[in-house]
Parts: sequence; structure tokens; C-alpha cells
Amino acid sequence: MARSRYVARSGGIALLVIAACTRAPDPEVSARTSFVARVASAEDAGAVWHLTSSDELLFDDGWYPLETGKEGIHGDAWRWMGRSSVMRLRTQSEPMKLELTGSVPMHLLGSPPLITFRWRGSRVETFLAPAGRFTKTIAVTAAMQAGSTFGDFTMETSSVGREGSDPRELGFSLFAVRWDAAIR
Amino acid sequence: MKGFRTERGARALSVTGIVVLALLFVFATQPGIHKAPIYETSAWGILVLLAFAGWGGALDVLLFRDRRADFGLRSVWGASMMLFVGGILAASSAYSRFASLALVDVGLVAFCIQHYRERRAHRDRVVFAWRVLRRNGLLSTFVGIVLVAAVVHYLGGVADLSSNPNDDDTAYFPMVRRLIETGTLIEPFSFRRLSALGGQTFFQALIIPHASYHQLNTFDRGICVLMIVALIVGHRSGRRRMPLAVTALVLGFFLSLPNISINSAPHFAGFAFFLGMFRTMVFLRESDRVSAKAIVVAVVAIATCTLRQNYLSVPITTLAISYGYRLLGKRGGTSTLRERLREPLLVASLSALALLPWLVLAYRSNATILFPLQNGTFRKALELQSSTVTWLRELRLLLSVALENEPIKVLGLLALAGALVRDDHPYKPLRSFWISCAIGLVFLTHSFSMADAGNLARYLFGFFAALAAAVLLTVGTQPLFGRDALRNRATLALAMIAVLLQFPSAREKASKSYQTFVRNIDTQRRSPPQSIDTLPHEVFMYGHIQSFVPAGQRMAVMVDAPYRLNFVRNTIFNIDMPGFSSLKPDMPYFEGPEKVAEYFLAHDIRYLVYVRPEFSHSLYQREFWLVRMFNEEEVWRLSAPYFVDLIDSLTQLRDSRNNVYEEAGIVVLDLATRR
Repeated sequence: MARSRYVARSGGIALLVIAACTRAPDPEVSARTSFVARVASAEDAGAVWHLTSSDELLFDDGWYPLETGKEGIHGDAWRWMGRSSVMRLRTQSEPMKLELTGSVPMHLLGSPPLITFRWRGSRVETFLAPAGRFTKTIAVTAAMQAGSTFGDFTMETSSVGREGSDPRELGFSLFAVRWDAAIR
Repeated sequence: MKGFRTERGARALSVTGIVVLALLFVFATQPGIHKAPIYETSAWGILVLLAFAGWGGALDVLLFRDRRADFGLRSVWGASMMLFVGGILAASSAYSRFASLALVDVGLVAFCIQHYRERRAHRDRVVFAWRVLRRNGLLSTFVGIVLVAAVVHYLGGVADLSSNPNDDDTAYFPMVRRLIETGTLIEPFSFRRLSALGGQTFFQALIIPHASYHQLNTFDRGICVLMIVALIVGHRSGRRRMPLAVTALVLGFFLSLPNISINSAPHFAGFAFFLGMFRTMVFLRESDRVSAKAIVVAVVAIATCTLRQNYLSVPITTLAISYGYRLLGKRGGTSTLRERLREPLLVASLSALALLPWLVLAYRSNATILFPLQNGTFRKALELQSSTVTWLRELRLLLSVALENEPIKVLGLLALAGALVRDDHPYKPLRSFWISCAIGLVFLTHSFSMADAGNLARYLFGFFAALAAAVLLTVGTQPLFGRDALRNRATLALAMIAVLLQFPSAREKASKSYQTFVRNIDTQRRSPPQSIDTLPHEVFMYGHIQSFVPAGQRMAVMVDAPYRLNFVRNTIFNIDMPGFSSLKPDMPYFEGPEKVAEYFLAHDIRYLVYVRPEFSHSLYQREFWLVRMFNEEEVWRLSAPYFVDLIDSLTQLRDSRNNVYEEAGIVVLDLATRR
């Protein structure tokens, strides 16, 4: 009897500790995210919003700062990368898809470069970049995401160029990125 | 100089000093004397510094029988004592302009008494300095240059009228006015109030009786610089002093550091108090009374803690490590564990006592005594720890802050010298401080993982600069002959190389800084004395706007210069950073304007005074925050939606609620009356 009471009490304490350590999702965070989405849409700042780091997606090494046109945040936006770049994506328990829209600076390179996508270091796809703006969708299964909170998505390009007095190496320009559930 | 050597000479020197002080007092405080504001404030600043030394001297006489502390140490002890008294007054809502004046006056009287009683020692110091400098022309020229640099630095601090509109005008200045006018510091909607216990505000309140709000840099960039100079000059370890040439070099090193501070928050104040704490520990001897040691250590450590929230960990860990060494290390005599525990326990108790008024005040203001460990009025959804930063990124940030430190580029070399030098003192002041700074760095990098290296360098400056000074003072007073001579020479050489390496990198910025000091001094000395005619239009405008809120009514404000408002006439809640802090339950965001109106009315706040975004010239411009909503810095991305949402809600409330008055884009809304 005493033993079962002890076990029950220990179990209760363990649950309390787990409850204390588990971070309950804060409803304000989703309200805030929805608000930002609403404002981005109302202010025609969707392009900028989708190219800004967030809790779900982080532009890491290799990405240059976001650039905008004459309208500032209220219009077109893009991000350049050099020879390679890393994007850190928050992993989920369900299959996800990563959708990238961008282009390579063909006028600087002369010929189409070979682009390689890697998920956590393993090659997912290699292709010859088409001319003009193109969209690529990468399926990321739940198994591929298992293990840690973030997964590194790496992009590599076989050639880069320089424009005018800009000292940067330019390899690929990203116009939009989405990290969504695959079934949506 | 012969006449000085007699008792009559000493008395004459002392009386002359007191007469000069009295004249300075009359000059600073009598409005009838025609003078530019810079002269009034710089004279008052000197008087405040002497008052610090007066309070500290009284403490010194009461606690230590066999020796006297130097001016620098006394000024830190005295400032800490005044802060303790100020804390009690503020916690009991009894602070006032009169309290500021009385605290300074009492300190000055104490200073004059000590100055007269210690006239022989003063005379001996003057004679000694005269002898040394007379013999060596080159050295006296160098010392002269350094002293002139210190004076220009001080006057440059007084003449520096720059303020950061986003921090000082909206938050730090209003806190000083609130303390002076309401006697306390209750600011439940202010994030800046939540983030500091209030020590810096108290010191600025000492300056304000003879300064404008834009002259509040006088404390941090003026008085504290002189305190640092005095602490360096007065340092000795046992009977050993630094050679005059090394002292001048070390002073030159610190006086040429570029100022990376961006607002009136503690910068040089942190440096002065951390260095004061180190020097206090060096001053202590085994033979001193335990209670005497515990009192000075506790008041200085707690004063340092109250300056800035991120300073909290360093004094506490320094003392913990120091007493840890004493408890665990070898000690002479036959003291029992109980005897050895007595001093740290007394220090802990007295520290708790010294901190108590500020904790009471923090609790009254923001319902927390341990922010950020206990949230109080802080909004949990805005935690400053990044959710996307990994420990490796934190390590990268930590290394970049430690090794590419601004403005002390050679901090790594000095830290190495500090690690190598022998710390023979029973309290291990350097060793404890060194380790605490390392812990403070890790703690800060972890708690502010959203911040960038530049901002972290500002937060760290107080204790990193003091660590650099502590290393230089320790290596500069090590014996160069006898035991450990080789090691002591090597560490001194390493430290001096570091000092010399710093000069070329600091030269350009230091030159610009001093040019700015001189230009500001020149501009300010030609300004007319303060009068009703010289007051900015803003003062009258804010007064006029406030007159549309009935006297005695509670009002919430979100304007560019809330320090222009009268805090006695109305209970004012200053929303300095929307979202971060508010009365519980949390102020509603992202729920529309009606919820905002309901929230304020539920707290009996009927009037809302805000600046329309298109008229704001600082923090409350909508476009400014809209851009930051899509910023790579996580801290901006998180906070910007709250600004945009509140600005939008207030804009909508302007359409639905009674607009009592509007001038220059500042709107007075009556939330209880619909249009």
C-alpha cells in the first residue's frame, strides 16, 4: 500500500516536472504571426515577409542581406547567395515541402550553372538551372526531418559572377521561399 | 614650498580649499550670478563628486581606524551610501528635489570637516607631488597632458547635450522627472524601468537641480570619468603604488577609449563602480573588523547591481568566488569554519539589506524583484532569448564579443596578463573578478542571444573596462625584484605592450572625441543662462496639452518627450516600448482597438495622450516599425508587431473616441466618451 502510494506520488511529481519543462504553445505567438501576415498583405510587403528569417526558417551562412526595389518593403524583394548557402528549417513530425522561386544571373555567367540541393549534407537534387525565373519544390519526408529541431538545407551553384563595382560573388537570386506541410 | 611644511601652512592650505569649495557652491547654486549653463552644471557636478567623497570619508572614519582610503575609493563608497539612503526614500515615496540637495549638502559638510582634519596628509601629498614633478620635466609634461585630458573629458561630458530620442527622451529622462516629482519610480508600462533597479536614475536625480535634462550626461560621462581617474591614481596594493609614468600611461589608455555609449544608461558609471568594488577588496585587510569590511563590500556591490540589470551577476559571483577561495584555501591562524563563515554571511545579509529598498521599489513598480527570472509586468511572449539560436551560434557570438571587443581591442591580451599575474591578496580580488567577468560574458550572451555583438559590447563595457583596469593596476604594483620577479616583469611587459598596441587603433577616434568635446564646450560656454526665455517651446506645448486632461486623472502616454509632462498634476503611465510591460492582466494586442480602450478603462485610465505616427520624430513612427517587422534581427521582428498594432489601434480610437485636444500631432483622447 505504502509502496503504491510512493509510486503514485513519484509519478505525480514526474508529471509535474515534465509539465513544467514542456513549453505550452503561446496563443499570442500565433496571433502575432497572423497579424504580421495581415499587415504584410495589406502593405504589399508579402515578398519581403517571405524572404525574412522567422521561427520556422532562418537564412544562415552564405545569404546576403535582403534587397528591395524603389518601393522599399512595399514591393519586390530578393536575396542573393554566392557559391553556396544554408537555410535552417524547423523540422516537423509530418512530411513538408520546400518551395523555392528564383533565378541565376545568366548575363553574368554566360552559360547555365549546375545547382545542387542538399538536406543535412545529403544530395537531394542536382539540375541545370533554366534561364529566367524558375520554381523548384523539394519534398522532405518526416523521416528526413527526424532527429533535431532544425534541418540544414544547402544550395550550391557551380559558377558565380560579379556585377559592376559590386564586390560580391553572385550565384543565385531568391525571390520567394515557402516551407509548408506537404498535404496542404 | 617651505611654508607648507609647518602646521600653519597645512591649515592655510586646508582653509583655502574649503573657501574655494564654498565659492564654487555659491557660484553653482545662486541664480543671481550670471553664468552659462555649462559653468553651473560643471560646478555642481564637482560638488556632487566632493559630496560622494564626503559621505565615503565619513564611512571610512567610522569603519577603519588605522588607515584612510583615497579620494577615488571614498567617492565610490560615498556614492553607494547615498544610493542606499536614496533607495529608502524612493521606496517610501519620499524622494524629492530637496532630498537631492540635502544629500549633496550633507556630503559637502562632511567633506569639509575631513578635509580640515586631514590637512597634514593633504599637505604632504602636495609637497611630494611637487618634488617628484619638479625633478622630471618630461614626466611632469606627460602627467600634465593626462590631467588636461581628464578635465576636458569631464567638461566635454557636461557639454554633451546629445540624447538618444528613442531611449533617453522617451524613457530615461521621464524616470528622473518622475523620481523628483512623485518621490518614487512606479512605471508599470515602462520596459526600461523594468530592466533596471534604478541606481542610474537616482544619480541623475542628484544632478538635475542644477542641470537641464539634456545635461544628464554629466553624471556618466563627466563625474564617473573623474571617479575612474581618481581610482586609478589612488590605487595601491599594501604599501606599493604604481610608478607615476605607468599611472599616466594607464590613465592615457582609458581616457583615449572611444565612447561607444548610445544613451544616458550606465556606461562609465559601470566602469567606475566595478573598479571601485575591485579596489575596495584590495583595500581590505585580514586585521580589519569583519563588520567594517562587510559594510563597505555590501554597499558598493549593491550599488553596482542597481545600475543595470545585466550587471547583477558579476558583483554577486565576484564575492561568492572570493569568499569561496577564503573558505577553501589555506589560511593562517586557527580560525574555525564558523569564524570563516561569519564574514560572507554578514556580507550576504548586509547586501540583502542594501538591496531591499530597490527590490521593494521594483516590486511596487513592476511586480517583480528578479527580472528576468521573474517576469512581473513583462510580457512572456516577448522573451529576449532567441528560439532559433543554437549553442554553437551562441559560442560564435561569445567569441566575437570577447576577442573583437569594442572599444578595448586588446582585452584578450590584458585578460591573459590577468590570468598569469599572481594574486596574493587574501580576498583574491583580481582572480575572483576575472572569473566573474567570464561568467558574466557567458550569462549575458546566453540571456541576450537575440542581441548583436555591438550591443553586447555596450552592456559588457562596465565590467570589461574595470577588468582591464584591475589587471593594469595589479601588474603595475607587483614587486619587480625578489620572489616571482621574472613572472611579475613578464606580466607587466605583456600589459604594457597591450596598452601601447591599443593607442594606434584608438588614436583616430580619440582625436575626434576630444575635438567634439572642445567644440561642445566652446558652444556651451557661449549659451545664455537658463531662464524662462531659453526654455524650449516643447516645455510650454506639453504643459498646454496636459491642461486638457483634468488634474488628478490617470493618463497613459505614448509621446516623444514625456519628460516635458508634469508628473505631480496627473498619475502618468508611460508606454515607452509597447508590448513589453503593462499592468496585469497583459495589455491586449492583436485584438483590435476596443479591447485596448476597455483595458485602460478597467484600470481607471480614462485619458490617453499619444503622438500620431506621421508627427512622431522618434520611436512612434509606424513606417519605422513596419520595416522592422521584416528585419533579420529577431528582437526587432518580435517587438515591431506590438508597436504597429498599438499605433493602428490608437489611430482607430481617434476616430471613435472624443478627441479632447490636438496640437503638433499629439492627441488627447477621452476613452470614456464616444464621438
